[in-house]
Amino acid sequence: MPFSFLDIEARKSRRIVLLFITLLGFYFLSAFIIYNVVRIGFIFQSGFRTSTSNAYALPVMLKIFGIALLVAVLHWMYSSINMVPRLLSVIGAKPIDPKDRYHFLFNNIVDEVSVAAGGMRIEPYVVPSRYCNAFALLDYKGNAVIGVTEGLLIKTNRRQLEAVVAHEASHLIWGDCLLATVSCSIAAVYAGLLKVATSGWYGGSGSLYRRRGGIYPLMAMLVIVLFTMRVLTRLMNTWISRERELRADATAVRLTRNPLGLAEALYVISTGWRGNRLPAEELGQIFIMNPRSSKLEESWGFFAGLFTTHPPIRKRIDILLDMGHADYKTLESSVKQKERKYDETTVSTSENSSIWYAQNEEKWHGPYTLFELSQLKWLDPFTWITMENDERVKPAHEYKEINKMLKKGLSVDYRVQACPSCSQGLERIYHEGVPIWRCGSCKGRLVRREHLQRIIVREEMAFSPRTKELAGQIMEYSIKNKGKYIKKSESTLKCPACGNIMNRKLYDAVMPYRVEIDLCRLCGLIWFDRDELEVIEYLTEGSALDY
Amino acid sequence: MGTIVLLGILGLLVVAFVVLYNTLIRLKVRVKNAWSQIDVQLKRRHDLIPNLVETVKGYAVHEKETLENVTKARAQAAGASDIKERAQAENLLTGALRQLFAVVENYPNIKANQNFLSLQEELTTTENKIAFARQYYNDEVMRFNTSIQTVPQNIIAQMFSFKKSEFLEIEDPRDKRVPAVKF
Repeated sequence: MPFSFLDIEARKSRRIVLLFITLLGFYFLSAFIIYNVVRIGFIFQSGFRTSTSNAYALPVMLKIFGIALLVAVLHWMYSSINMVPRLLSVIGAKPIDPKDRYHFLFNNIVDEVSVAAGGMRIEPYVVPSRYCNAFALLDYKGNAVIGVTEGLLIKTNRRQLEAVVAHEASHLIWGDCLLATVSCSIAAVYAGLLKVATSGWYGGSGSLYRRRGGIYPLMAMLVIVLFTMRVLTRLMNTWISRERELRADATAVRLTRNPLGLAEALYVISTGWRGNRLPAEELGQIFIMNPRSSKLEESWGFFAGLFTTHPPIRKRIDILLDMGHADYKTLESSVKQKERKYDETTVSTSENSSIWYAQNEEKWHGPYTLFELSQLKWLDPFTWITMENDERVKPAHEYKEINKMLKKGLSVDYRVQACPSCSQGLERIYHEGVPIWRCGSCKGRLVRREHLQRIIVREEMAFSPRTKELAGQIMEYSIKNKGKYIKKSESTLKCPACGNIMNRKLYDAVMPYRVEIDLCRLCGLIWFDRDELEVIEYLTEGSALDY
Repeated sequence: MGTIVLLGILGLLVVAFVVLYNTLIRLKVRVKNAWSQIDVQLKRRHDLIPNLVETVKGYAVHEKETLENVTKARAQAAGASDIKERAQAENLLTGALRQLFAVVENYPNIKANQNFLSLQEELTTTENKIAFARQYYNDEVMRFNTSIQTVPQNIIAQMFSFKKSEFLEIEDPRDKRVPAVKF
């Protein structure tokens, strides 16, 4: 194996040329077929009167080749621009949030593996979804991304997660990941176009094709062409050997010296939901395990080898178990469900501590919190500022936080002040690994809207009988009223960050039951009264709907 | 005719020499780079220790000796001059830290402290990084050492007196385990 990232450059470019030639050949073939179909069509229409020119004549072939080359280059260029960000948005991956406990751990593990591989910048990404999978992306410039889903973060322990990250890093080391990324990017163009076309197709009465009856057959043809294209690009997977997964497994073991961790992780992923029915399903080859499970993939043979991208899971696990001198039974028993316990630890942050002193008209004022500092009318970038336990005095703009505040205003994290229902101070706590606010006296919770999905996906918390009872009441109410819900009242709560009245909303994103919540659209903050957050978590975990 | 053949052979020899020499130099630089990777991680661990000691001090009043051991081992490691001495001192520090974390188990109050928890996670990841960096270093050393002992590189290695690099051995058998961390 190549010992470091430096070794792979030459090999990479050779593979890419091969892929481009495939693409070109594929377009040449398609253009040739289309040309012949059209020609035969003309011959039929004209009643065999026109002379049939030879389809294999050199000038004709050259023209077709020219067209194929043009289309291939255009396609190639389009799919190469912003390849990694585009694929990330198809998968729905987001950069990590360093304040989140799980994301912090994941970030550390990626750093560790990067050290083990001889040092390479790897960007960690997380998909906020419940399914279990992991992927790696690489572009021509060597930008590398390793992504995992929230589902994987909550289902694996540290050494299992480390094994998965090492597996993905192995794809980066070998460089086969670039080939997978490019082929994904090429296939994604057609998958996307087809989605647009078919969404109009099934779009109901207002559909594009029915309104303009004339275009109907043309559109039908377009869809057929696109569909064939997509099937053919899927054939490009034949270039992607399934052995590369076995090789990456082996390299991961070489990096972490821990075959059982990877075996356990593969077991966890294979027994959970791998993410079929999601848009990412199209991009199977970049994942550690194909989101779509199929009979073909689980078999071992010539055709299976040709059309699949991953080897059978059982074979992968067996090889790893052999390395670790263990058997399947012990594996099954060693992968235990994680113990649930209710645990809310306080976050120690500098966000709301009074540590700032500011000088105005030759006099020192303070101590202030950052929020109080932002309220001072005389504060400007050149005001002298000092911090507690620090002798240095610097102008305001030299402090990173203050400079950011002066330029863009304070972020929501700093602006949150008192509890909206009882005006007590709020404390910052970790709830399922996510930093949120809690009111000590009324036990209400304040959550940033973008964090809510993460909290709901996680399953760290054990539910109290009280939560279960309340959830039961909501279910009963919903069944009695046949899912209809009458809004009781408007909200009177003021947003703890901006002071505007919040909107009362029904939370029904991923479950058939409704719970009232208060939302400030401006700041993106949601207030949950006591028990509401837990009840929502309980109801969504029990519901069959996924995302 | 004979002179042309001779010149040709001579030219080939020179090219082969240049290629082999450059490969050896490249491998040597890599070993050096791998060593500096370990250095970075060890430095990071040194930076974390005063904070850790400060945090634990407030809770574990009766563990003065353990804390002093950690501080002493850190000072010793920072003052070491050559690789061997340094490796020994760092191993000592690893042992002292392990003892500290074992002692802390008896103080549930510390384990509820978020500051301590994040420090513990930081140290765990740094320990892992040290282990991985050491592994990578040993791999590179193995590659370099194998290279300078095999034909034909060994001729050049002897001409320019390339010396074998030292492996980083692990003295404590417990170190061979992957550090297990429970969530």
